[in-house]
Amino acid sequence: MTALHRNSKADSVLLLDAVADDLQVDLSQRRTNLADETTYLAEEPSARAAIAGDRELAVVADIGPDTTGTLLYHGHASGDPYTYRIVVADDFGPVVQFYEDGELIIEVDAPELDSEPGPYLIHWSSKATGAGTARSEVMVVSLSSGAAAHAFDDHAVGTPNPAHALYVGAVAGANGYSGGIAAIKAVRIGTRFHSTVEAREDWVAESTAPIVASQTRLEPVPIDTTTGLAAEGSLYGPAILHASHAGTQADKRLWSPIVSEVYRQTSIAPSLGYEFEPARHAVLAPGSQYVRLLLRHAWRRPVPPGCRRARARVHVTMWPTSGVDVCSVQFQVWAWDVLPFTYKGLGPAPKSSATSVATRATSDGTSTGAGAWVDLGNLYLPEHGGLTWFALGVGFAEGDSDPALEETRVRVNAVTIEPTYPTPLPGDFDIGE
Amino acid sequence: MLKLAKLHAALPTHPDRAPLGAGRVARAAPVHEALKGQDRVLAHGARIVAHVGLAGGDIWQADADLVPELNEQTHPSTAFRVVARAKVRLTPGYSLRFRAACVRSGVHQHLSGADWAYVGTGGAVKVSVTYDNGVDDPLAVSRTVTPKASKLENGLEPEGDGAAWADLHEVLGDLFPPELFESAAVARRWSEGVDAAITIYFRGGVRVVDLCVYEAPTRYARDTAEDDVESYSTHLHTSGAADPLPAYPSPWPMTRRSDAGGGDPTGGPLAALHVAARQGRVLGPMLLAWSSWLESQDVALTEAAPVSSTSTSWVQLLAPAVTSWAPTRAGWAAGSPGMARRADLAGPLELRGVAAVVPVRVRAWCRVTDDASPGALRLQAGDYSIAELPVTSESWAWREVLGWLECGVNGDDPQSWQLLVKAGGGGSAVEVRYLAVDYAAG
Repeated sequence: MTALHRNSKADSVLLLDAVADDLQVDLSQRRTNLADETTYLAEEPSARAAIAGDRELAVVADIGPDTTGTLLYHGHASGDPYTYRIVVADDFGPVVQFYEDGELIIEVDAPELDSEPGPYLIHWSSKATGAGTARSEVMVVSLSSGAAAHAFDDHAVGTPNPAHALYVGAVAGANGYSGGIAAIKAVRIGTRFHSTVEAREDWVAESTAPIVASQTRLEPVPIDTTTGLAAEGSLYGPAILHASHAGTQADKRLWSPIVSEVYRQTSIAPSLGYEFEPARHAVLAPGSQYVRLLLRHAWRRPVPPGCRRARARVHVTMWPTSGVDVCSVQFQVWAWDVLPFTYKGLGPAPKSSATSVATRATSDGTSTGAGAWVDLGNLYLPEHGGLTWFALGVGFAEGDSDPALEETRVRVNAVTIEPTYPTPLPGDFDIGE
Repeated sequence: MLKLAKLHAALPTHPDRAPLGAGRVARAAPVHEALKGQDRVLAHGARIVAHVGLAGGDIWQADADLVPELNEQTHPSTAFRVVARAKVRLTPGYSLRFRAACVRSGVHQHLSGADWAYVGTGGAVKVSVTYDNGVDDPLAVSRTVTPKASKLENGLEPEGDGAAWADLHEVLGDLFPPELFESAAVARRWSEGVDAAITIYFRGGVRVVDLCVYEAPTRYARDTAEDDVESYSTHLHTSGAADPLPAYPSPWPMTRRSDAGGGDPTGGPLAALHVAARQGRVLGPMLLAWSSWLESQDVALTEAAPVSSTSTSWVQLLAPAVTSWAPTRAGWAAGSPGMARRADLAGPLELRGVAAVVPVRVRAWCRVTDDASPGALRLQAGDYSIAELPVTSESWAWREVLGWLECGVNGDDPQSWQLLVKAGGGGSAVEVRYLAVDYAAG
């Protein structure tokens, strides 16, 4: 059985990888090799590479200070007309140029160029945005340093001609890549828009899978209704089965961040000290001796139907007004269906929930110090009429005395409360009720 | 035939799929349940599309510690001031409503001739929305509500630890265009492809802790004769009276039911597949909304003061000392958008389950002070994930761009999006008042 190359995707019409095989060997599912013309590769004509609109072009090649020439080209063998062309040109140093339908649409300097040629990923992906128009995203990454340069353009798309040829490393022998064909390490051509994140995962470094405790959702591959699955005389089963599965995967597509706030992070932005000024805006959290809920971080928000759990995080900067130390600072997010501070005894008693109390005791030096995220964990979401009250609580030194208490300032830079699923069982980890 | 669904905030159902599997006897009931389940997906949202409030501040414009003076503006005026704007592509079949948590309003002043006069306490909140479907004349809806006013001298807040919390109360309003409820024919025209432009105003001494404008499901309609089944965002497995069907309309789900004969395509596998595909393309989260409004801003302002930058290298708009994106820096929430991952961008072959991406429409109400030196904004999700918005005009307006940004796989996966800015030099500044980023349907 033929092992698929990890970068061979369903949309790939050509995949060359000099590490896995000779460069001209097509490792995509098409399995149609290019012709080796010694100094360049060719397919004449190349209907499969005649693509405009939704399209991905990826090239891995060595670029140095004196590099020039054609990397990838689809068009007439004479050099004109053509649908797309990627070249490295000399413009007081090498610049990667991207042409569509004879027009230069984007050029990008190769980032962190070394004195010797080094490997770069050149990724150009475009998405059709209308009749004859597309948006292109270009990313050039130094695979030595990881440095990336980005550029974008909205442009007209060409009319690809299936009778035209595909060339790698030259245009029918002309305008050859100065590093030679050996300097080109990989090429991929696809019929789908690929995000720059996908380019990173494929060509730069694969991420580690996130560890998540709650459910995820992912759209199943949509089924083209022209397939026999829904054809005349076919049974309902497979089509309805797919639609039902897709509905399950789509049931939380509208779930959005409930609280997502970022504040100014300058030296004059409001901060907080142990006196909680103005005191009228800070109330002790129910049952707490030191966590005070802040009016400046209180929200009344709708929660998605069926959402009863959320994950809360805050980003804070802490610094001393004098000296070098800060006291520990505690953070906690609360949620209520009915606000207990205004409850008049009518109707059901308020239900509340809170995250764990998280403590940070690190000084960031100054008010413009880097700060850090503090993960407060999960909380249950009591709701009334589809809405929930939220508030961030802060405590200093757990209410105790501390030599740095009076000097400690804290500024909340960001607060995020995001929905998660499913609803936890009573007593589950850090969820209070 | 016009088919209408009256949408209610619904919990999804996940019918048993085993009876639809291979080797099972084809029956109508499981098909019926599956299509009913498909109809419950659309109403499963409450996206927050705009918000404004104290936003970390410790002071109101209606300053409780400042005694008003005559002949000088020390407190907010009785004219409306713009505190937030947003623009969003509405979820099909949704309209907007708002709710604000307030403490009692403080002092406001009125310009009488050349002098500012003290006119007591009070204020109002107004939210205006213009709905535009790109075909008909836009529908405009505006609601003004009045929070309670302080009963204390000079509009003071109650004193004492935490006293303001006992003062909290809510004001709210629906922003539904009344035309939606006139007929299914009108609802049909406003069911798909509707953009909402939202403006939030404060007047007088209002003290708003948090105001949010959010989506509420209302009505969704299609004409089975006129509308291509590919344009259905929900199945409409309903009767003509907008009621769920009690049972599948035929006893044998053995043959194709389609609009091939010009009939009703709902209830059949073609419609089921089209709706499934469209829900993946069209339904997605509201990703972030932001206003530069601060309650500490000058009381004479008629609109939120912008955040600006003249830096000719990339810096974070809200943390100008920071010159790049970093996961350790403050940013907007981007974990839960992963619940809207699409197969073509983030499928198991595309991203191997280790990363996630969503399509975004980045909108900024912004300008440059000199259009000879254009600038740009970048909403960034990492070193390799950027949406860039050129800012080329000196006029204030919404500018937007399409992008594809990395996100978490769900709300447990910490990801943050940060906004960077770069000016064009020559002293030209990029100024930003509002941001609105939503899922890019299509």
